[in-house]
Amino acid sequence: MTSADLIIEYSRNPPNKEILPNATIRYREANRVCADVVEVFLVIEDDVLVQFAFDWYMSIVATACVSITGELLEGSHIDSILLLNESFVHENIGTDISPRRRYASLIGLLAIKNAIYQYRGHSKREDFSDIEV
Amino acid sequence: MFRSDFPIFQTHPDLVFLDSASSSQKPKMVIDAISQFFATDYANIHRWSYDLSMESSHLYEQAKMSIAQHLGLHSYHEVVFTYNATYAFNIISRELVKTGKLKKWDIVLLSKADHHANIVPWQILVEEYGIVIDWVELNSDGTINYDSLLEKISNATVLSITGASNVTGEILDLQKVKEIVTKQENPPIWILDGSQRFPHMETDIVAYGIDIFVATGHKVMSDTGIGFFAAKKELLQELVPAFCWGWAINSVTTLAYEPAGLPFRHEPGTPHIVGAVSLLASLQYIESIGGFQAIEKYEKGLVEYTLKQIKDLPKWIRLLGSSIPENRLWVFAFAFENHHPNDIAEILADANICVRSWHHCADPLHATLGVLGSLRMSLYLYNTQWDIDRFFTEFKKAISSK
Repeated sequence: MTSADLIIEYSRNPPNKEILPNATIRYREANRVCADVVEVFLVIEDDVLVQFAFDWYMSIVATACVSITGELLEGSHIDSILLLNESFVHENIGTDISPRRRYASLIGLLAIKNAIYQYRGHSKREDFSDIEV
Repeated sequence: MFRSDFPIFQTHPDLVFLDSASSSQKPKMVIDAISQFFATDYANIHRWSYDLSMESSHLYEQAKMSIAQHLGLHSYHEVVFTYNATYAFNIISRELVKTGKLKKWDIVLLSKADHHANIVPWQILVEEYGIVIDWVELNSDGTINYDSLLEKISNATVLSITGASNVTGEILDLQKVKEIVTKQENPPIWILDGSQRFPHMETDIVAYGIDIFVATGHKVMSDTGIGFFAAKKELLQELVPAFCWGWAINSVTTLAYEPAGLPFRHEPGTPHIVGAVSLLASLQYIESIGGFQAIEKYEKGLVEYTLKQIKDLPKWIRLLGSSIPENRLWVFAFAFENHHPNDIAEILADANICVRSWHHCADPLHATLGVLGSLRMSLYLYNTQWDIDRFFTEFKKAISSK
């Protein structure tokens, strides 16, 4: 499946687009320039991301990339998630996303990382400059 | 040597332009880049819906990257565009307060050689927030007194100082300042006004431990209306924006707003895009002629030549600043007891010689030296010995005419 097919499929039928009332942490990330706003829901047990879901108002690329990113990260230790950057998205979703939609493809990873910082009680928040490569 | 690269001197072959410390002339490469940009690449930046905007955004970010590389930084995110250096100081001073890094009774240490752009924004904070300003004293020739800096720095929360004086031409000894700053138990936030320095030389701000570097584009051959401040990314992420709208915010509710992160955080509203493109072109021009090293080498010769001419002037003409070429830019200001500098500038203007007179936005420096104003000639890479000879010929006539 090409990354274009993957994005179309996940944008039409994102399996994890829902509100999780039992989320350990919920966090909203916005990118005004790309007009994407995502709210992520993380269930964390023993510092492992056991369940991910998201909601809100997003473009096709953002919806698909948030969904795929979250799905891939389920089962990961949250410390290892904090080490990820744009390369993770490229490697797993493909590099043929239009440069015009670059930030849209990254907003999910950014939201998940910032949700973890909030969960940890850290004041640190990352922005796009931290995950670009 | 470089004069033929500047169309203004073809339009005005007799022009003696000696006001580059105020604003520099533009090489053809910059003029062409501006025209080319509007003809082929212009669109608003950061509208990632179409390719033209992507190209425009790319050039804007490339300009930042080029600046970053000349300052020893590694990312375009470490450069924030403003409209000029004055605007940058106003933003930085307010952001330090908003972030809580500068509070009531905290001391901001300035030097009496500083430009008003690095004085007045802090004085406004004195009025609004009760911060305190202290001053690094000057030597009798107007150069920085490093003993005074050493004496006063331990109490300072911020040191904001010029990297090169626009009146005395003194180039600040960054190594010496670094040694003084790093000796402190609680080193101040060190802000360097690079407005006069950036057009002449590279400054590795990371190596010297400078926290924030400020400069403007029009003195380095680009358009007016584009300046910048540069700092390590962590500091820029920490600073709370003083002005916030447009792309500099992530969200707004009826109760509050949330500032955006980098790269949008400190740049509210549509910026001066072609200004950034012109700054990129001016730095590309500098690279095309051999880099800042070529400028420094050429400057050294003209400084030595000018100082030789100054030795032949009557003793009642006072050169502000050092009379030796070391640590000196090609900026020369003269004070007189019997002439108003504007009268001399007027006579020189009649001879097609452009200089600047009066206070050069450095009142405290002139007051410290006991003069009300001065006449300043300032050179750049397009000047030659011919300009200097023309200046001194007409200058000598002017001062003896009254």
